Amino acid sequence: MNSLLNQIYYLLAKDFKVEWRNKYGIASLILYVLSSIFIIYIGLIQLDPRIWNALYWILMLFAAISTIVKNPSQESQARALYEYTLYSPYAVILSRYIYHAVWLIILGMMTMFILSILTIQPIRNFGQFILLLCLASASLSTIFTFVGFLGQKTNNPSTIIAILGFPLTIPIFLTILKISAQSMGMLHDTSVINDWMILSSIWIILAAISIILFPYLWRE
Amino acid sequence: MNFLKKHGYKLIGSLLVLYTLFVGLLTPLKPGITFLSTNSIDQGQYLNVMINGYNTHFKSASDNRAWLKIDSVYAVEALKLTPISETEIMAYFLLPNFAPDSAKILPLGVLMDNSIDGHFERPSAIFYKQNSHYIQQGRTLWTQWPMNNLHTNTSFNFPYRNILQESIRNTYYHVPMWFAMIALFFYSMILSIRFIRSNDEALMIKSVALIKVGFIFGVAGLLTGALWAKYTWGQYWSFDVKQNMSAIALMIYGSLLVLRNSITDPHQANKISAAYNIFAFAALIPLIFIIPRLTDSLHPGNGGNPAFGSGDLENTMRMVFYPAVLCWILVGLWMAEITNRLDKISQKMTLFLHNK
Repeated sequence: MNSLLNQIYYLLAKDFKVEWRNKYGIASLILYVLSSIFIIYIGLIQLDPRIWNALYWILMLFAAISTIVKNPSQESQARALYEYTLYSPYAVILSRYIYHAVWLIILGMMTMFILSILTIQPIRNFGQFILLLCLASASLSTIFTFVGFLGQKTNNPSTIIAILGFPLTIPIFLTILKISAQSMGMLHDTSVINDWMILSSIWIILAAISIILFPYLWRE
Repeated sequence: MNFLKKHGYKLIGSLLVLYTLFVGLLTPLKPGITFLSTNSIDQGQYLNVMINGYNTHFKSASDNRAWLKIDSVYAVEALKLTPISETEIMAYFLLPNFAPDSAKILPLGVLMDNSIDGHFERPSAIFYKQNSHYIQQGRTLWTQWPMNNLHTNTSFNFPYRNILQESIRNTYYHVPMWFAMIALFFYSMILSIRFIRSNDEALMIKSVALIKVGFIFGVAGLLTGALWAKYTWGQYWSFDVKQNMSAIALMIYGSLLVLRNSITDPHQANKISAAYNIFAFAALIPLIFIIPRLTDSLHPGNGGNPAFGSGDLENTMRMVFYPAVLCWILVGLWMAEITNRLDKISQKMTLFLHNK
C-alpha cells in the first residue's frame, strides 16, 4: 500500500474486477459500438476511406464520452471517501487515466475490426494506426477524465462534460485525423512527425496540469 | 499623488486610445501604384501604359520619372511621361531586344519618382516575355538608364501595400485585441493559481471578471479579423486555421463561463472554474501559437508567411502600434476592474436577498 505503483495497481485491479462482475458496463459499450456501426452500415453501405476516417473518429469521441459518463455515476460518495483515506490522489487520477485509456483502446480496436469487416478496410499502415489509436485514447482519456471530475460536481454532469470537453478535443482531433489519413495512404505528408509532436505535446501538457491540479479538486 | 497611483493607468490608457484612434486613422498613406493598363510585354516592343497612382501628385510635380526594373541594377527608363491627372499618367517605354537573364518570363517592377511624392514602386507589375536570349547584350542594354538621384519622401505617412491599401490601419486595432486578450487571460490564470493556494474568494471573482473582458476582446479580435479578411482574402470567414483555432479558443473560455453558472454552490464554482481556467490556458497556447505555425495558413506569421518583420512594420507604424497594444491592455484591465466591482456588488445583493 505504500508505493504509488502499488496503489495504482490495486485501484486498477479493483476497477476491472468491478467491471467484470457487473457485466452491464461492458455489454452496454459493446452494444453502443455494434448498434452505431450498424446504423452507419445501413445508412452508407459503400464507404470511401475519407468518410471511414471521419466516422471512425466520431465514434471514438462518443465512445470516450459514454465511457467517462458511465464511470463517475457508479462511484458512490462513501466509496470516494474511503478511497480518499487509503490512497494518494495521484494514484487515483493515474489509475483512472489508465483505466479509461485501456477501455478506449479496446473499444477502438473493436470498432476498427467490425467497421472493416462490414464496410471496407482502408488502413495501409497498421503499425502507425495502432500507435495513433493508443495516443488518441490516452489524450481523450486525459481530457474527459479531468473534465468528468469537474462535471461530477455540477447539477447536470453529462451536458457539462460535453460542453467542457468538446472544444478541448478539437485540436487533438485535427492532428489525429491528419495522421490517420496519412496511415490510410490518402495523404502523402513528409512532415507527419510534426503532427506526432503536436499530439504528444498537447497530451503531455494537459496530463501534467491535470495531475498537478487533481489533489486540490479531489479534497472535498 | 495617491490619485495618480490608483487611476494613472486609466488616464494613460484612455489618452493612448485617443492617440491611436486619431493618428492611426488620420495619417495618410504613402503614394503607391494601384493599377497598370497592361500586364505583359514582348522583347523589343514599344509599350504605352497607363499608370494609376494612389495619393500621388503626377500633375503638380514637373519632374516625373519612371522605370521598369528587374532588380536594383537592371532597368529601362520611360522615354516619355504625360500626366493626365494627379493620379493618372501615361508612360511610353521601349523594351530592349534582350534581357540580362535567360528566363522566358521575367517579372518587372515599376519604379516612379518625382520631387513631391518621392520614389515608390510596385513589384512584379509587368511580365517581360522573350523567346530568344542573349545575356551579354542584355546586360549592356538594361544598364543604360541608371536609377539615380531618387527623391525620398520624409513626411509622416504609413506605407502603401498592394492588397492591404488603406486597411493597413487595422494593424492598430486587430492585433492589439489579441495581445490584450492573451494578457488578460494570462493574468486571470495567475489569479486562479493564487486562489488555489490561498482560497481567497475575492481573487477568483477578479479572475472571472478578467475572463469576461478577455472574451470580449477575443470576439473583437475575430470581428476585426473577419472584416480585414473580407478586404484582403475575399471572404469574412475562409476557414483558415488561425480563424478556426481562435474560435475554438473562445469556445473553451465560453464553456468556462457556462460551467460557472451551472454550479449553485459559489465556493464549489470558484474551485472548479479555477482548475478549468488553468487547464484552458494550457490548451490555449498550442491552439493560438503552435498549431497555426505548423499548418498552411493565409494569416501573416503562420505557415511561413512573415509578420512583424522589418518589411511589414515600418517605423511610422511602430509609433502607433506599440502604444495601441499598451492602451488596449490598460483599458482591458480597467474594464475588468469595473466588472469585478459589479460582480462583487451583485454577489452581496444575492446574499442580502437570500438572508432576508
